[in-house]
Amino acid sequence: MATPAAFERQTKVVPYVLQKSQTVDNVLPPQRRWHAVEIFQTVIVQEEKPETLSDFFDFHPVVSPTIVPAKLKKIPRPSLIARSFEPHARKEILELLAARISEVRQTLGQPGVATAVARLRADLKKGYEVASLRDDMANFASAISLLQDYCYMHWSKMSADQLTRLENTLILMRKKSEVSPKDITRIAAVLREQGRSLDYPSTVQLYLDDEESSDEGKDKDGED
Amino acid sequence: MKSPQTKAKTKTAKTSAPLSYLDTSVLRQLRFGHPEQKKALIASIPAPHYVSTYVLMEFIRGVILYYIELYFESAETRHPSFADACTFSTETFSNRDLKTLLGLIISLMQEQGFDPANPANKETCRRKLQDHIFSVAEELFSLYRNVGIAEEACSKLRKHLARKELEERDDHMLEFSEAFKNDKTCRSLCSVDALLKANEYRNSYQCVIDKGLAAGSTPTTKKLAAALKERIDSPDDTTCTRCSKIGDVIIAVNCPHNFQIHTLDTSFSTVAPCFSREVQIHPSTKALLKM
Repeated sequence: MATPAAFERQTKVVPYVLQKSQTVDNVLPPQRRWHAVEIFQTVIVQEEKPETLSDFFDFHPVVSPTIVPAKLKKIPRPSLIARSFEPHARKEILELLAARISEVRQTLGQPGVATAVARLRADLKKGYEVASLRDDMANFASAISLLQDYCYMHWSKMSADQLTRLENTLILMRKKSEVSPKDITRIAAVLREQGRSLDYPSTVQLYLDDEESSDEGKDKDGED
Repeated sequence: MKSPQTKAKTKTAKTSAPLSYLDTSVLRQLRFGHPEQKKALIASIPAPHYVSTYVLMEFIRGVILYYIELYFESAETRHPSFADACTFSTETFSNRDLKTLLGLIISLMQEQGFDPANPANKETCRRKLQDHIFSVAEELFSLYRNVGIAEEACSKLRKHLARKELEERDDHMLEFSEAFKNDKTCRSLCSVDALLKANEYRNSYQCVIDKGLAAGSTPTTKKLAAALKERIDSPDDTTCTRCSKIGDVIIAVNCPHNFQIHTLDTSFSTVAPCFSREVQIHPSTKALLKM
């Protein structure tokens, strides 16, 4: 007769999941049933190690293999290569945004301008969501974010000319084979310059001397 | 290469008005202020706008670093949505201005059609915040010109926050934040103690202390004067935290003589004259909207 300590040392807890139409009675042999505890559908089997078995052997109760019922998964729908290949996906979004900007420009001063702006805003959001979820489109997502920020701050002040320039910045991105962080910095600078010209009554006020300011720009770059 | 001061002299010869040197308060209002305040500041501060490295550092410390913290905090699974992370940060940050900043980022996202309260949008909102951090940092270094004077030689900005590829962005932000927050290294590289000991500014410092501690001065000026007195008495014990309390004095020291300080901070009405600097104190948003 095994002592409690010896019993603890010699037993092993093995979870056993009962299949449909199985019960503790018809799965486990009678000598093991008294050890079985049923918790929902899991049966914990505590089996005493036979004295004849060596300590070197792993000790498992005899269990039948788990049968997982086969389940048909949804087959993914075939996607267009235009949407999965980054330059094509980017071009598609850019074309849509350019069309929206053009729509805003055409409706400036007309009752439909608010609707056009709402459409542009919604498409910018959709474009950002699509691009930000893809790692290969992260830089493009940053570019859309810049456009969103620019429109958020300045759209009410934008003229037809400003919108044309905004459209032109999109063309820059459409032609690229890939958008790098440097391209984003460049686009940010273009948008900032446009934003500044909207904020300040005259760009002459920004640079006291054109020649000097261009020299300064170089100097600053050199310092950096 | 011409020094910024030489360039400034050339410009002063052409224009009679002093050049504009912005304090951190103006910088913040120009970026995050009320539209009326922005309009008023743009109309009254002649461009181009100059700043010092110390001002840039103060802006980053007060804005960008908190945004970086929020970005990493929002990644935690205990915040189901981005708005939850913002609420958590609002409750942790004691500074009133920072609460405003967090409110601004939420309203910016909502205005652009995102829903920060929706857990499904959490990652998009985080990416948006990341883009915002890089945009603000980039704007800061390109929109303003540096006067090129840093008497205290603040070393917190020895690393720049520049746009990177997606996989490098998180590490880059962490690296930037770590370098900025490492007060021990930063303090070992700067020379604020030498600036506080300099004979050249001794009378100016005394003037700030005397005027600031005099009866009738504002509580902010009194606080500044007391902190400056403490620093003058023991300049070697200056830490980055202690230095931040005399920020207005350092900003005034770094202002070239042919420039005018533009600020919203009333303590400059005491500090600027002591350093023989011109100052224009702009009205606060509250005062402006009452007009």
